[in-house]
Amino acid sequence: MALLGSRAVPERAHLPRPVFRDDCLDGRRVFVTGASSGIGRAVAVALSRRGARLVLNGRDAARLEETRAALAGDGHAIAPGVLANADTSAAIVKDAARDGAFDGIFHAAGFFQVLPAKITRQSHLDAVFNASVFGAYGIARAASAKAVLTNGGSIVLMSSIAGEHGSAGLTAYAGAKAAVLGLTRALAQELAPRLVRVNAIMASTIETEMHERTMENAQMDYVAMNLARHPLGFGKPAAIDDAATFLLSDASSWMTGATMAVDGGYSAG
Amino acid sequence: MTANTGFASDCLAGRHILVTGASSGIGQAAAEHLAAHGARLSLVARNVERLEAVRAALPGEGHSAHSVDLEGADSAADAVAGIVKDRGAFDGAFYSAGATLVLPIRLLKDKHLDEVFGAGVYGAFGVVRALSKKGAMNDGGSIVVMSSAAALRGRPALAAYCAAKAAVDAMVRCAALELAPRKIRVNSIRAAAVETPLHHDYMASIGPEATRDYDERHPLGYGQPADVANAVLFLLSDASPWVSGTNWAVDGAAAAK
Repeated sequence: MALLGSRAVPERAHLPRPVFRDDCLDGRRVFVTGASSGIGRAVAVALSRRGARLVLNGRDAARLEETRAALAGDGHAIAPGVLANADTSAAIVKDAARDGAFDGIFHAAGFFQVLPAKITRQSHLDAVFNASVFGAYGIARAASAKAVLTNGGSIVLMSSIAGEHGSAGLTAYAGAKAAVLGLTRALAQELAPRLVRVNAIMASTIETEMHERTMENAQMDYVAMNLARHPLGFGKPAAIDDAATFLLSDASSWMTGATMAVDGGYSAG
Repeated sequence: MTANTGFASDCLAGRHILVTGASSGIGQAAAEHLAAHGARLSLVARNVERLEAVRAALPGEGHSAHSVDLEGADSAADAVAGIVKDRGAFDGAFYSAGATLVLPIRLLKDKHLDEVFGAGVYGAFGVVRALSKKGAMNDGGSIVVMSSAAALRGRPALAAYCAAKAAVDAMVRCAALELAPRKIRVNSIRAAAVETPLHHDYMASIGPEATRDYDERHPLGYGQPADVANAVLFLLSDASPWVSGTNWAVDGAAAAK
């Protein structure tokens, strides 16, 4: 992985400053999927440091407990369950809200898969679409009830630049991530009367465990080519923290139906 | 839930930021927001009296006001270079100058296109050019250009404005690639109708049917200048170091429709 490090960072005139206050999500209840690793875990930790109380979803209770142990503050819960299809996902979200409606939902669950179309079977499509797409539909259905997501609440769905830019071997993943963008635009219209906002974050390559597992099997020329598509280098796991915070906070109260590219410049070129 | 924008009040402390079109509307709201979070501003607009009034009311110290003609790329670039010479390199810039014009294509002449493309497009090219020069912007800086959902969605009698906004969006993507080696980020914000003086002029110029249609195109209602100012602050701050070359919709789902 040494080759994958970000490019040399030029000297900065200023040290980076924290942008969000520690209390900017005080008292907000947020449901996070995909919380046992990667972006879901990183965002969960960031949200907890800003005052949110979380309910964590993932397939593995033990790993969710690890995430919960890493959270700041208390009052966090876990809601283990597999987002296998829209119906079970809706039931999981609804059940997780039994102690009180959520103010926000962050949907990071998903599965990355590189596979040529000629050997992509239904089982491969299921693996990619189930949590990411059908899980999002379950969230959409559950969150349409005020008892699950409060009026004025915010839904943030993780998508990918693959949803708009083609790469060989990513037909299933690209289709799933494009589906999330379409769902985002339509659901935003549907929930606007309740002032519920729905946005997608379109990320490119972030150096998570999932990415490292994929890269171990990838050709080095693919890795170099992919890095060259990232003018600002690959993202760190924390790359999404502030974008998610922004979209879940009152600072974005007129933002809905939007696709927010957080991609190191990938989609510009 | 009470509104809590959640930004730390010192998150832009010590940052020198250029704001164009700062004498009214979104530019003014952004200037007030940025100054309230610690930035030192150099304000630019054509009308220096109004601009001076905005400057005098800003929180914090060390802000300046400059009367600049943004109608052409060269004059805008020279003016920004002059401000850098006097006040030092920038860490950020928000370009929100520009005019709108409601006129059907059959009547659009050179002078109309110049009016819309002058400050709307050429001035933006000039400012970004000046900021690209060595020493004009610190590495790691951020440039935000005001765009519109009009870049993506047509509207009768707005061809010049729609084309101008599409032009700056394209410029932003290219500038982002050119400046990435210095970690300078360039993005635009595509807003829909925001309740500014410009918006009220537009609403006064259209009939009741067009008004109804326009209302329906804004599922979350019209925006406030503060809504855009929050997105500007986010993109100029350290919260978005991996965001560049994007055209962000801040529009209450208008373009998603």
